[in-house]
Amino acid sequence: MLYAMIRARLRAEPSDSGDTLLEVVISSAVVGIAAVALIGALLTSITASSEHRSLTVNDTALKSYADAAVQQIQRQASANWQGCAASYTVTAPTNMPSNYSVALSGAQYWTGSGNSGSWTSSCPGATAPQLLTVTVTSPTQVATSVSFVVRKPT
Amino acid sequence: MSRLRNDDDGGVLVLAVIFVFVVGLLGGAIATFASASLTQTSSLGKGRTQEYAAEGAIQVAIQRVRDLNTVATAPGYGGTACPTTSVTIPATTGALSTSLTVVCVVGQASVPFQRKIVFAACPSGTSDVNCLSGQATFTPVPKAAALVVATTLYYDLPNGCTTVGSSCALTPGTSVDISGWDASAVTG
Repeated sequence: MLYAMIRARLRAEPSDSGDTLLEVVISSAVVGIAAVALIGALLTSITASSEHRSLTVNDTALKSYADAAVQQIQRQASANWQGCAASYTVTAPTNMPSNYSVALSGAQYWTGSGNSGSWTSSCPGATAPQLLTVTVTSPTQVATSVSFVVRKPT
Repeated sequence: MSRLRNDDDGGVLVLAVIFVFVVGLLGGAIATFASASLTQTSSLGKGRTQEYAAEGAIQVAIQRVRDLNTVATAPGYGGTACPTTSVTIPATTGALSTSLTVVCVVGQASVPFQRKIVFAACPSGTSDVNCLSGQATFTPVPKAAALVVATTLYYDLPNGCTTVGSSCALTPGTSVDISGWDASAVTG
Protein backbone atom coordinates (compact mmCIF):
# COMPACT_ATOMS: atom_id res chain seq x y z
CA MET A 1 0.00 0.00 0.00
CA LEU A 2 2.84 2.35 0.88
CA TYR A 3 4.51 1.55 -2.38
CA ALA A 4 1.31 2.30 -4.29
CA MET A 5 0.97 5.58 -2.45
CA ILE A 6 4.54 6.59 -3.30
CA ARG A 7 4.03 5.60 -6.92
CA ALA A 8 0.80 7.56 -7.08
CA ARG A 9 2.54 10.57 -5.56
CA LEU A 10 5.29 10.36 -8.16
CA ARG A 11 2.70 10.21 -10.89
CA ALA A 12 0.55 12.94 -9.48
CA GLU A 13 0.98 16.54 -10.10
CA PRO A 14 2.54 18.35 -7.20
CA SER A 15 -0.38 19.54 -5.21
CA ASP A 16 -0.47 22.35 -2.75
CA SER A 17 -4.23 22.52 -2.63
CA GLY A 18 -5.97 23.41 0.62
CA ASP A 19 -7.19 19.88 1.13
CA THR A 20 -3.72 18.50 1.71
CA LEU A 21 -2.72 21.47 3.75
CA LEU A 22 -5.86 21.11 5.82
CA GLU A 23 -5.13 17.43 6.38
CA VAL A 24 -1.59 18.18 7.36
CA VAL A 25 -2.84 20.78 9.80
CA ILE A 26 -5.40 18.38 11.25
CA SER A 27 -2.86 15.60 11.43
CA SER A 28 -0.35 17.86 13.10
CA ALA A 29 -2.99 18.88 15.57
CA VAL A 30 -3.91 15.26 16.28
CA VAL A 31 -0.30 14.24 16.66
CA GLY A 32 0.42 17.29 18.77
CA ILE A 33 -2.47 16.73 21.14
CA ALA A 34 -1.70 13.03 21.36
CA ALA A 35 1.99 13.74 21.92
CA VAL A 36 1.22 16.12 24.75
CA ALA A 37 -1.08 13.57 26.34
CA LEU A 38 1.39 10.74 25.88
CA ILE A 39 4.33 12.74 27.13
CA GLY A 40 2.23 13.66 30.15
CA ALA A 41 1.42 9.99 30.70
CA LEU A 42 5.06 9.04 30.34
CA LEU A 43 6.13 11.72 32.78
CA THR A 44 3.51 10.45 35.22
CA SER A 45 4.83 6.94 34.75
CA ILE A 46 8.37 8.09 35.35
CA THR A 47 7.32 9.94 38.50
CA ALA A 48 5.33 6.91 39.65
CA SER A 49 8.29 4.68 38.95
CA SER A 50 10.53 6.92 41.04
CA GLU A 51 7.96 6.90 43.83
CA HIS A 52 7.72 3.16 43.55
CA ARG A 53 11.46 2.80 43.87
CA SER A 54 11.52 5.06 46.91
CA LEU A 55 8.73 3.08 48.56
CA THR A 56 10.41 -0.21 47.78
CA VAL A 57 13.75 0.92 49.19
CA ASN A 58 11.89 2.37 52.19
CA ASP A 59 10.22 -0.99 52.78
CA THR A 60 13.49 -2.85 52.62
CA ALA A 61 15.22 -0.36 54.89
CA LEU A 62 12.32 -0.46 57.35
CA LYS A 63 12.38 -4.23 57.65
CA SER A 64 16.15 -4.33 57.93
CA TYR A 65 16.28 -1.69 60.63
CA ALA A 66 13.27 -2.96 62.58
CA ASP A 67 14.58 -6.52 62.59
CA ALA A 68 18.02 -5.30 63.65
CA ALA A 69 16.42 -3.33 66.48
CA VAL A 70 14.42 -6.32 67.71
CA GLN A 71 17.51 -8.48 67.50
CA GLN A 72 19.64 -6.05 69.51
CA ILE A 73 17.00 -5.14 72.08
CA GLN A 74 15.37 -8.48 72.73
CA ARG A 75 16.83 -11.51 71.03
CA GLN A 76 20.60 -11.48 71.22
CA ALA A 77 22.38 -13.13 74.14
CA SER A 78 23.30 -9.88 75.85
CA ALA A 79 20.20 -7.95 74.86
CA ASN A 80 20.01 -4.16 75.15
CA TRP A 81 16.58 -4.33 76.78
CA GLN A 82 15.96 -1.86 79.57
CA GLY A 83 12.77 -1.72 81.56
CA CYS A 84 10.96 1.59 80.96
CA ALA A 85 13.66 2.68 78.52
CA ALA A 86 12.90 6.05 76.94
CA SER A 87 14.65 5.12 73.72
CA TYR A 88 17.34 2.88 72.34
CA THR A 89 20.48 3.35 70.32
CA VAL A 90 20.41 0.79 67.57
CA THR A 91 23.33 -0.06 65.34
CA ALA A 92 21.96 0.16 61.84
CA PRO A 93 22.51 -2.76 59.48
CA THR A 94 25.43 -2.30 57.14
CA ASN A 95 23.26 -2.62 54.04
CA MET A 96 21.13 0.43 54.71
CA PRO A 97 20.71 2.59 51.59
CA SER A 98 22.69 5.79 51.49
CA ASN A 99 20.91 9.14 51.59
CA TYR A 100 17.96 7.57 53.39
CA SER A 101 17.45 8.82 56.93
CA VAL A 102 16.24 6.54 59.70
CA ALA A 103 14.69 7.63 62.98
CA LEU A 104 13.66 5.46 65.92
CA SER A 105 10.96 6.97 68.07
CA GLY A 106 10.81 7.07 71.83
CA ALA A 107 9.14 4.13 73.45
CA GLN A 108 5.52 3.78 74.48
CA TYR A 109 4.56 1.26 77.11
CA TRP A 110 1.80 -1.33 77.23
CA THR A 111 -0.54 -0.61 80.09
CA GLY A 112 -2.86 -3.55 80.47
CA SER A 113 -6.44 -3.28 81.58
CA GLY A 114 -8.34 -6.55 81.78
CA ASN A 115 -8.09 -8.37 78.48
CA SER A 116 -6.91 -5.29 76.61
CA GLY A 117 -4.84 -2.21 77.23
CA SER A 118 -3.27 0.75 75.53
CA TRP A 119 0.07 2.29 74.72
CA THR A 120 0.98 5.14 77.03
CA SER A 121 3.95 7.40 77.56
CA SER A 122 4.10 6.57 81.27
CA CYS A 123 5.68 3.25 82.10
CA PRO A 124 3.57 1.06 84.39
CA GLY A 125 6.39 -1.34 85.25
CA ALA A 126 9.79 -2.59 84.22
CA THR A 127 8.36 -5.60 82.41
CA ALA A 128 5.91 -3.62 80.29
CA PRO A 129 6.28 -4.37 76.56
CA GLN A 130 7.51 -1.39 74.60
CA LEU A 131 6.22 -0.04 71.31
CA LEU A 132 8.83 1.50 69.05
CA THR A 133 8.34 3.12 65.67
CA VAL A 134 10.99 3.37 63.00
CA THR A 135 10.61 5.91 60.19
CA VAL A 136 12.61 5.86 56.98
CA THR A 137 12.66 8.96 54.79
CA SER A 138 13.90 8.83 51.22
CA PRO A 139 15.91 11.59 49.51
CA THR A 140 12.65 12.60 47.83
CA GLN A 141 11.05 12.97 51.27
CA VAL A 142 8.87 9.87 50.99
CA ALA A 143 8.44 8.75 54.60
CA THR A 144 7.32 5.29 55.70
CA SER A 145 6.99 3.97 59.23
CA VAL A 146 6.40 0.72 60.96
CA SER A 147 5.76 0.01 64.64
CA PHE A 148 7.07 -3.04 66.40
CA VAL A 149 6.98 -4.36 69.94
CA VAL A 150 9.81 -5.57 72.12
CA ARG A 151 9.37 -7.29 75.45
CA LYS A 152 11.58 -8.26 78.30
CA PRO A 153 13.83 -11.04 77.05
CA THR A 154 14.16 -14.33 78.84
CA MET B 1 -13.35 13.18 -5.10
CA SER B 2 -11.20 11.84 -7.91
CA ARG B 3 -8.29 13.86 -6.55
CA LEU B 4 -8.76 12.20 -3.23
CA ARG B 5 -8.64 8.76 -4.76
CA ASN B 6 -5.67 9.38 -7.04
CA ASP B 7 -3.19 11.31 -4.89
CA ASP B 8 -1.91 10.73 -1.41
CA ASP B 9 -4.42 12.88 0.41
CA GLY B 10 -5.18 11.26 3.72
CA GLY B 11 -1.88 9.47 3.97
CA VAL B 12 -0.63 11.81 6.59
CA LEU B 13 -3.79 11.34 8.59
CA VAL B 14 -3.50 7.55 8.37
CA LEU B 15 0.11 7.69 9.49
CA ALA B 16 -0.88 10.02 12.30
CA VAL B 17 -3.59 7.64 13.45
CA ILE B 18 -1.20 4.69 13.28
CA PHE B 19 1.41 6.65 15.20
CA VAL B 20 -1.08 7.67 17.85
CA PHE B 21 -2.38 4.12 18.11
CA VAL B 22 1.06 2.52 18.48
CA VAL B 23 2.44 5.10 20.88
CA GLY B 24 -0.83 5.01 22.78
CA LEU B 25 -0.46 1.27 23.25
CA LEU B 26 3.09 1.73 24.49
CA GLY B 27 2.03 4.52 26.83
CA GLY B 28 -0.86 2.45 28.12
CA ALA B 29 1.42 -0.48 28.77
CA ILE B 30 3.90 1.67 30.67
CA ALA B 31 1.14 3.30 32.68
CA THR B 32 -0.35 -0.09 33.51
CA PHE B 33 3.06 -1.38 34.59
CA ALA B 34 3.67 1.64 36.82
CA SER B 35 0.20 1.38 38.31
CA ALA B 36 0.61 -2.34 39.04
CA SER B 37 4.00 -1.71 40.65
CA LEU B 38 2.57 0.96 42.92
CA THR B 39 -0.40 -1.22 43.84
CA GLN B 40 1.85 -4.14 44.69
CA THR B 41 4.16 -1.94 46.73
CA SER B 42 1.21 -0.61 48.67
CA SER B 43 -0.03 -4.14 49.22
CA LEU B 44 3.38 -5.27 50.43
CA GLY B 45 3.47 -2.31 52.81
CA LYS B 46 0.12 -3.31 54.27
CA GLY B 47 1.28 -6.88 54.67
CA ARG B 48 4.46 -5.74 56.40
CA THR B 49 2.51 -3.52 58.79
CA GLN B 50 0.09 -6.33 59.52
CA GLU B 51 2.91 -8.75 60.18
CA TYR B 52 4.73 -6.44 62.59
CA ALA B 53 1.44 -5.61 64.32
CA ALA B 54 0.56 -9.29 64.74
CA GLU B 55 4.04 -10.13 65.99
CA GLY B 56 3.90 -7.20 68.41
CA ALA B 57 0.50 -8.27 69.69
CA ILE B 58 1.85 -11.75 70.36
CA GLN B 59 4.83 -10.29 72.22
CA VAL B 60 2.39 -8.38 74.42
CA ALA B 61 0.37 -11.53 75.07
CA ILE B 62 3.48 -13.57 75.87
CA GLN B 63 4.58 -11.00 78.41
CA ARG B 64 1.07 -10.73 79.81
CA VAL B 65 0.96 -14.45 80.57
CA ARG B 66 4.33 -14.04 82.32
CA ASP B 67 3.16 -11.04 84.29
CA LEU B 68 0.00 -12.78 85.43
CA ASN B 69 2.37 -14.81 87.59
CA THR B 70 0.09 -17.75 87.52
CA VAL B 71 0.27 -21.17 86.01
CA ALA B 72 -2.20 -21.19 83.16
CA THR B 73 -4.44 -24.19 82.77
CA ALA B 74 -2.33 -27.15 81.81
CA PRO B 75 -2.38 -30.91 82.34
CA GLY B 76 -1.48 -31.53 85.95
CA TYR B 77 -1.66 -27.90 86.94
CA GLY B 78 -5.27 -26.80 87.00
CA GLY B 79 -5.60 -23.10 87.51
CA THR B 80 -6.39 -20.18 85.32
CA ALA B 81 -7.38 -20.39 81.67
CA CYS B 82 -4.95 -18.92 79.20
CA PRO B 83 -6.23 -15.38 78.58
CA THR B 84 -7.23 -13.74 75.31
CA THR B 85 -5.62 -10.36 74.77
CA SER B 86 -6.77 -7.49 72.57
CA VAL B 87 -4.01 -5.28 71.23
CA THR B 88 -4.15 -2.27 68.93
CA ILE B 89 -1.00 -1.10 67.20
CA PRO B 90 -1.43 2.61 66.46
CA ALA B 91 -1.26 4.08 62.97
CA THR B 92 2.08 5.00 61.45
CA THR B 93 3.05 7.13 58.47
CA GLY B 94 1.48 5.45 55.49
CA ALA B 95 -0.36 2.78 57.47
CA LEU B 96 -3.56 2.54 59.46
CA SER B 97 -3.85 1.28 63.01
CA THR B 98 -4.24 -2.46 63.37
CA SER B 99 -6.42 -4.13 65.99
CA LEU B 100 -5.78 -7.75 66.80
CA THR B 101 -6.97 -10.49 69.11
CA VAL B 102 -4.39 -12.86 70.50
CA VAL B 103 -5.69 -16.23 71.64
CA CYS B 104 -3.53 -18.66 73.56
CA VAL B 105 -4.00 -22.35 74.17
CA VAL B 106 -1.90 -24.58 76.40
CA GLY B 107 -0.51 -27.72 74.83
CA GLN B 108 1.17 -30.80 76.23
CA ALA B 109 4.66 -30.15 77.54
CA SER B 110 6.93 -33.13 77.87
CA VAL B 111 8.78 -31.98 80.98
CA PRO B 112 7.32 -31.09 84.40
CA PHE B 113 7.27 -27.41 85.28
CA GLN B 114 7.34 -26.48 81.67
CA ARG B 115 4.33 -25.32 79.73
CA LYS B 116 3.91 -25.33 76.00
CA ILE B 117 1.66 -22.41 75.11
CA VAL B 118 0.64 -21.55 71.57
CA PHE B 119 -0.38 -17.99 70.69
CA ALA B 120 -2.26 -16.93 67.58
CA ALA B 121 -2.93 -13.37 66.46
CA CYS B 122 -6.09 -12.79 64.44
CA PRO B 123 -7.89 -9.71 63.16
CA SER B 124 -9.97 -8.04 65.82
CA GLY B 125 -13.46 -9.46 65.99
CA THR B 126 -12.42 -13.03 65.28
CA SER B 127 -13.88 -15.43 67.84
CA ASP B 128 -11.42 -17.43 69.91
CA VAL B 129 -12.32 -20.77 68.36
CA ASN B 130 -12.00 -19.34 64.87
CA CYS B 131 -8.51 -18.17 65.71
CA LEU B 132 -7.04 -20.99 67.76
CA SER B 133 -9.00 -23.98 69.01
CA GLY B 134 -8.22 -26.85 71.37
CA GLN B 135 -8.40 -25.11 74.74
CA ALA B 136 -10.31 -27.95 76.39
CA THR B 137 -8.15 -30.77 75.10
CA PHE B 138 -4.74 -29.06 75.26
CA THR B 139 -4.28 -29.53 71.54
CA PRO B 140 -3.78 -26.12 69.94
CA VAL B 141 -5.01 -25.98 66.35
CA PRO B 142 -4.50 -22.66 64.52
CA LYS B 143 -7.38 -21.69 62.26
CA ALA B 144 -7.39 -19.94 58.91
CA ALA B 145 -7.87 -16.52 60.49
CA ALA B 146 -4.58 -16.75 62.39
CA LEU B 147 -2.06 -14.31 60.91
CA VAL B 148 0.89 -15.25 63.09
CA VAL B 149 1.23 -18.33 65.28
CA ALA B 150 3.90 -18.61 67.98
CA THR B 151 4.76 -21.74 69.90
CA THR B 152 6.37 -21.00 73.24
CA LEU B 153 7.77 -22.92 76.16
CA TYR B 154 7.32 -21.38 79.60
CA TYR B 155 9.69 -22.48 82.34
CA ASP B 156 8.22 -22.37 85.84
CA LEU B 157 11.42 -23.20 87.71
CA PRO B 158 14.73 -21.34 87.68
CA ASN B 159 17.34 -22.57 85.25
CA GLY B 160 18.92 -25.82 86.39
CA CYS B 161 16.04 -26.89 88.64
CA THR B 162 13.91 -29.91 87.89
CA THR B 163 11.70 -29.88 90.95
CA VAL B 164 10.52 -27.42 93.56
CA GLY B 165 12.97 -27.03 96.43
CA SER B 166 14.49 -24.56 98.81
CA SER B 167 16.49 -22.88 96.06
CA CYS B 168 14.06 -23.79 93.32
CA ALA B 169 10.92 -21.81 93.99
CA LEU B 170 7.95 -22.21 91.66
CA THR B 171 8.06 -19.08 89.55
CA PRO B 172 5.60 -19.24 86.68
CA GLY B 173 7.12 -17.99 83.47
CA THR B 174 10.53 -17.29 84.92
CA SER B 175 11.78 -17.63 81.38
CA VAL B 176 10.27 -18.23 77.97
CA ASP B 177 11.60 -19.84 74.84
CA ILE B 178 10.00 -19.38 71.46
CA SER B 179 10.25 -22.62 69.56
CA GLY B 180 8.03 -21.84 66.60
CA TRP B 181 7.04 -18.71 64.72
CA ASP B 182 4.78 -18.89 61.67
CA ALA B 183 3.78 -15.74 59.81
CA SER B 184 3.00 -17.43 56.52
CA ALA B 185 -0.67 -16.43 56.67
CA VAL B 186 0.14 -12.74 56.39
CA THR B 187 -0.78 -11.57 52.93
CA GLY B 188 0.34 -8.49 51.10
